[in-house]
Amino acid sequence: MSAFAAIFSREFRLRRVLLIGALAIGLMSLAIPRLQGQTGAIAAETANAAALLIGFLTCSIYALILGSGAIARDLADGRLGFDFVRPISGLTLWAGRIGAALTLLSASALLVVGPALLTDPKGGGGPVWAPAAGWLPVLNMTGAFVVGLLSCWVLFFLTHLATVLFASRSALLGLDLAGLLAVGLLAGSALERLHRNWAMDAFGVGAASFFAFLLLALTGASLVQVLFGRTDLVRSHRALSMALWVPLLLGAFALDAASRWVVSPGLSDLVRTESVSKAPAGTWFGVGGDLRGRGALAGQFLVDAATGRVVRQGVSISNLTIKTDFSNDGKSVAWLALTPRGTEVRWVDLSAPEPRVETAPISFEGVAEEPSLSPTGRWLALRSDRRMLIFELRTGRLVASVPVTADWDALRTRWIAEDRLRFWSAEGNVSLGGEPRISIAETHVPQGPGSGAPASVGTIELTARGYAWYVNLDGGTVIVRELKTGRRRLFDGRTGAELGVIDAPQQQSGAILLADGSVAVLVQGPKSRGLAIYDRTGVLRRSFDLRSAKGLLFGAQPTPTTILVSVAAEATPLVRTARRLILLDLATGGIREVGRGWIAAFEALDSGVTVVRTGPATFARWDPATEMLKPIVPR
Amino acid sequence: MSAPRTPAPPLTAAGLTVRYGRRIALDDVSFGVEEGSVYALLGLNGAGKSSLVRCLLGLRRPESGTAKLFGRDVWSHRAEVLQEVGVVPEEPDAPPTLSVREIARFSARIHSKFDRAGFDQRLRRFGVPADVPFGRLSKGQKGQVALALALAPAPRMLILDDPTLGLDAKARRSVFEELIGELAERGTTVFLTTHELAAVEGIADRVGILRDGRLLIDEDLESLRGRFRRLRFTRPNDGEATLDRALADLAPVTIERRAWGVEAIVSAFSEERWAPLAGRADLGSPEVEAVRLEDLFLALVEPPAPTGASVEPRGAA
Amino acid sequence: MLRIDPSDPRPIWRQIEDGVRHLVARGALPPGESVPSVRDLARDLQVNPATVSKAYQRLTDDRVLVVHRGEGTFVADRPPALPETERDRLLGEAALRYASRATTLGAPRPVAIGAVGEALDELAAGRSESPGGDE
Repeated sequence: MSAFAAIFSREFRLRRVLLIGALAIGLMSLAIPRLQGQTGAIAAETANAAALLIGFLTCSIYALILGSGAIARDLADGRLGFDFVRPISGLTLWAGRIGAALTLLSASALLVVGPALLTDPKGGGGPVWAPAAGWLPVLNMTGAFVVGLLSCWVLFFLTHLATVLFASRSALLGLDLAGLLAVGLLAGSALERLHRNWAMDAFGVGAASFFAFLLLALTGASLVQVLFGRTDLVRSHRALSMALWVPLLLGAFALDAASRWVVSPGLSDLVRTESVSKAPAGTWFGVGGDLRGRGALAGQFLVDAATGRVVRQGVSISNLTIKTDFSNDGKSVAWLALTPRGTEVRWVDLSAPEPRVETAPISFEGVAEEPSLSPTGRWLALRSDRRMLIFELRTGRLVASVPVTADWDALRTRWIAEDRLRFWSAEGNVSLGGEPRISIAETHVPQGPGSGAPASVGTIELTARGYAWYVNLDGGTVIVRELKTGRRRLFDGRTGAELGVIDAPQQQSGAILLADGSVAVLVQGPKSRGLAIYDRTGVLRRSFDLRSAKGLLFGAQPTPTTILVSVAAEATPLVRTARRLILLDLATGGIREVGRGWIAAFEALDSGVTVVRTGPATFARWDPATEMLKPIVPR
Repeated sequence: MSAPRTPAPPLTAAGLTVRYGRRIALDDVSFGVEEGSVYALLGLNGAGKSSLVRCLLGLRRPESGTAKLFGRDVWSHRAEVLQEVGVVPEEPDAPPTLSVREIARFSARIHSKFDRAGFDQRLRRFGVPADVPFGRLSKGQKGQVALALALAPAPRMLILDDPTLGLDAKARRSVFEELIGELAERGTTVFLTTHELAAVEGIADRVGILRDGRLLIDEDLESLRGRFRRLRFTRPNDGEATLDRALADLAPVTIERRAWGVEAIVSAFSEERWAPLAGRADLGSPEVEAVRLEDLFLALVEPPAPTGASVEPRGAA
Repeated sequence: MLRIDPSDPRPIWRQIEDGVRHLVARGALPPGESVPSVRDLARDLQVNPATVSKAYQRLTDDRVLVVHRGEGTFVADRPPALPETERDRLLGEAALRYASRATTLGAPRPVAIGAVGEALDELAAGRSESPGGDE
């Protein structure tokens, strides 16, 4: 113990002039706001910022001085022998010298920042630093100081490392540079991977962990160097390099593996489903939700309900669902992926034997939304700025650019055929000016030269301002609900001609357009609960009385003659509350309970496969033939 | 009942081999130093002395073999072992801005016992000022300070690596006087390497000669002086072959022509073997003289070993 | 007074021992005179104190020197009184050494014997000249 104290105090006293310098600099930084005439809180903030900045600069310079002076210079000049021919163990020697240097470094930092900290009205708690907004945590004065100081510790050890490496003039330096490159590339690419996938929490954890690991590795390597290299410069270099690069490479590999793990979740990593989307045909569906152990990162997947095959769409910031669009034939799917470089269009050929995520060679300026695939998936329509852009998906060729005058909220589009796109734009609705009407227009794809705005094909004339409206999947029917009266009116999607009116009781709470154009209306009154089915002209076809049902929700139409709905145990159930599945037979009027689960999504129209969520992240398929739920087992 | 253990010898080197890449600096070197004796290791520059000293001080791990001080391996127990060993390195160095006084204070904290008064007395004897920064002392003064520091903890053994290198005659003498005083008072074991062969001649009990990494000689000085002789033959003889044959029994190391005749250094001299040659008229009246350590050393390390000649004593002297 | 000759093949302790004997025999070191301590003589001659110690031990054993505890080492008051047999034995040993030396030098017998006589004369002369005279 006395040997350690002897070395520590000798080394400390040799360089104590650094402390005096630090104190002087610290007092200077207090003077800066005074010089600028600031007072009060502003002065304190300026002093804080100045102290931190100057403190970091001073500390960095001190780190360079001490980093080379603590051990490396004496080793290079052959003066380390003085300590080594004495009964001082290698560990004591290292601890005494490094300890004195780091103490000087930290004390100097405190002396520079201290005066500002002491006079800070918030006592070190005030926010000071919000680097690269969102990616690293916002730091207060104390936090910024600690991070800055630890960075200087790293700089200290890096200087020691560099001094030894270059002074030894050994060919090993080549390996060191290779190691540095490898570690840098691995760690850098790992962090970049997390960054471009918006894995912010993981990025923060990864960066902080690697930084801490770097500091530990540097510290340990310098100790190994003293224990095994002793006074021999070349052997010290060798020991230092071995003890540094091996752990750092392992750490970088671990970081790389962890980053890959974060951005490559499997379906089983879903902890809770937030969204489900279904293909209008075929057996594929999309699932998205929060992931296990990855912070605020959500994953989205495409699942084949028939085979259980899973294709990962990607990861994104939680709460930001990736809007996914299936083509009507269920063979293609496309979505927009937000990367730090911009928005990319990704798609999958679901009919391929091994479906893979492709990036479409589509580029555009600015923001794009609402991807919409043509019925066979050949064309992709995107809303961008005040235009509807239509691209050939596989080649990225722009085939049409349709100017759109209406606000996007007031616009609906549907692919009528492989070469035709139909637009409905609402006017005179709530805050929109003009007479209440819905204009119907069409455009051909690809557009010839000289074509511009879509050509008008019809109009839906309305009487009341304030309405909610919806278009079914094939664009053949438009349903408009007058907000004041609750009356529902059905119109032909192309011509705008009125087809019928549903004047349902006031207790109705929702209407859904079915595949064939008929309308299912949920009735949720105090006494009566059930489903009423009206045909396209507004005539009641059948009604189902689900008197005991609470929390009735429409689910899906698995076959033309069956409808699945779900009910809960309470009137106003939470999202998580368990639900019972009820099968309604349109032909016979039969009502039967068939299982438990949540019918995925509340889309107005369901086709293709009926997917039932049986747990937070487990799914089953409704098999109409056997009228049973078949669990989907991911492969 | 176990026999009482003999105390471990102060220094044991066994099979020490040191390599720098492909170059062999020490080749299977083994020797020992007994308690209370003075061992002088001699060798030209590049013979491997520095590598050997580094192994003995635990600064370098030999590729194979062990170096032990007081029975403990130096590489793995360096700090422990050096408690009892005082070291004066070849280039004594200390933090250049510290004064001698501060260095002494530091050393006193390191060692369990440190004779501060004795140290100060020595400094006065050497005439070294206590408050001058170490970096500003002359080379001789630095060496004297290093010696005083090494002696102050009253070590059981001293290891000195070329302690007189670069010292003037006065400083050299003072160093040896201190050593002798130390030997007289406390019977310290001493291991030293040196080029100053004349000065060491009186002090060393045992001598080792290192050549190209091999220990050529590891022998008591008395025994060496007993079997080496310088022979001078004034009458030039007709053929060196005659002399070669004549001296074969005496294991000649060098045979050199001079202006006045032939001079030979032999390594297996004894009165019995010499007697028949002493009276031979055809060799002239030969003179016999002891070989000074310096000449012995040079004879062994400089020329390539003459064919047929060996440096080992042939049979019992 | 005493000098070590590196060209002399005799061991150093022997040279010291013989040297002291010579000085005592010549009268340069009269009986009762103090001799330098082991340490002082070692420093003076720049030799290992153990070597001086060995020489002194032999001289003390032969009662040429005596040690007075606490005071130092001195030349014995009178030449050692040895039994004749012991004296003759030691003398014989010394004579054999001398004879070998003479033979290997190739000296004829009368010359060798003559040299002994001359040496004895020289010692006697020295002793009568002055007690503790210098070299």
